[in-house]
Amino acid sequence: MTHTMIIWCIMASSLLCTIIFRTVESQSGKSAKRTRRHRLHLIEFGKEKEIFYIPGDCDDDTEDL
Amino acid sequence: MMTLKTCDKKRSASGVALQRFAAFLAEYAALLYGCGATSIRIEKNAARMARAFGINFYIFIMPAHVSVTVWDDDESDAAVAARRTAACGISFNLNARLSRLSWVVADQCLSLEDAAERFEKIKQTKPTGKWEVLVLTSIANASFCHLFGGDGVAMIIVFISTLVGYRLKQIMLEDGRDVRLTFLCASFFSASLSAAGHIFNIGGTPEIALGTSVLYLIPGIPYLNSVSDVIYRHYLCALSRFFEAAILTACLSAGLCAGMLILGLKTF
Amino acid sequence: MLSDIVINILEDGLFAALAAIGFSSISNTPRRAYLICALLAAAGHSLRYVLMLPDGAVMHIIPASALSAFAIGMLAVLLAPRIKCPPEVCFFPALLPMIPGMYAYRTIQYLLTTLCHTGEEAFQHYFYLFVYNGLTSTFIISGMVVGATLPVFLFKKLSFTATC
Repeated sequence: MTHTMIIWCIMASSLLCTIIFRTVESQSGKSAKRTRRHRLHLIEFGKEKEIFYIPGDCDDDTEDL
Repeated sequence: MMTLKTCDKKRSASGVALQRFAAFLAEYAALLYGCGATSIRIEKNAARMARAFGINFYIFIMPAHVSVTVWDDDESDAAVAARRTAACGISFNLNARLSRLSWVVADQCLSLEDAAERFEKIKQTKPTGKWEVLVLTSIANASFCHLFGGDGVAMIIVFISTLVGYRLKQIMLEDGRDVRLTFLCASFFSASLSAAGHIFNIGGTPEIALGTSVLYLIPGIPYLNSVSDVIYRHYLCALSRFFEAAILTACLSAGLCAGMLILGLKTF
Repeated sequence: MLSDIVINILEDGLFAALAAIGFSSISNTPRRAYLICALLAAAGHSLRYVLMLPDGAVMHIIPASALSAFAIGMLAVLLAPRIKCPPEVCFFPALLPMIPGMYAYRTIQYLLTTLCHTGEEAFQHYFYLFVYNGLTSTFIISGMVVGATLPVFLFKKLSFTATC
């Protein structure tokens, strides 16, 4: 099996696993109970405050991770 | 500026606050823009309803907002309402229903309350079932492959890669991911899967399978809408729609290139 | 020979119809419009195929697309009132199989490839491909929309009263 075939198989299997996992998750209804707040995001956009902070802005952060 | 033409002389803006008319028309126009209607259709439909309500009307359509100004006959009172355009995705079903509503308002001289009630019902319209769309899109892309000269094996490869890629797109959009990232990922995986023809030497036209595997992501409707807006001189909306479509095309192209790069393929 | 051409035309129309139904479903087209979208797409795409035949009119893709879109627009204006839909609901999905998708994404690809090459010859070659694909896709789409919208202009009353 060549290098390219191995890469292809890894990509296809990872995609298949993602879709199967997601289908099982939606069938079991867990995603409906889980809210966005409790979901752990590995990668996410930073908050606007972090990008555009100006000294003197209110420090009261009501959005928890 | 619209000339005043009422359904019934007794109906006038004095009976109902102008602000409510303006708010209704702005919400109607915002939803119509969001579901992919051309700017001229938004103008005509909203103007038709304003005429039927017996008010003067002006609409200002921007890419992200719609602003409606209404005033009565003697210009003693006026109201302005602005709404953000709805991000509801292209829906010709909504487009047809909202257009029909404008005619029903004009022909049957509906009151604002009745029109608003029907509008609320139209807003509840369900989109086409996701599994139906998934299968039909896969068949459509496989047909596309054939139109470009692909053989039976290439069509099957494209069918499977579209099925998987479109399902990934649905999952990512349901999760609220950015649409540009979604297009990039969907095109990456669709292109990578359709490269199976090249990698495993299946079929006689693997390059056509690879080339047509991402065509289901091309944002055709925004391109068509942008040219339509140019024809009717809504240049700002035309540019906005064109850029949106061009950026999505760039994202899908980047996904395709990334897929080919990782697999070491060169077809261009 | 003629029978081969006829079979090819019918095949072209059939697959264009299937493509139109699929892409209509993405745009949430009302189900009652599916058949008309398929019919319009079949008619338009097979007309474009005939116009571009090497043994026939030998037309370039841009005018062929514009003429086919005009035919689609005419049929849409006539058939849309039957299903109480605006003509755009019928002809926009029908135009989708003719959208130059490959030209569009190759434009971006050749732009990126141009930037990767610093040698003059290679740069000019890929730049030519970028401009060629970009202009072709732009003019195909513009020609299609102008062609499909002309009947709406010509039959204004019919077009804008289709839903009543």
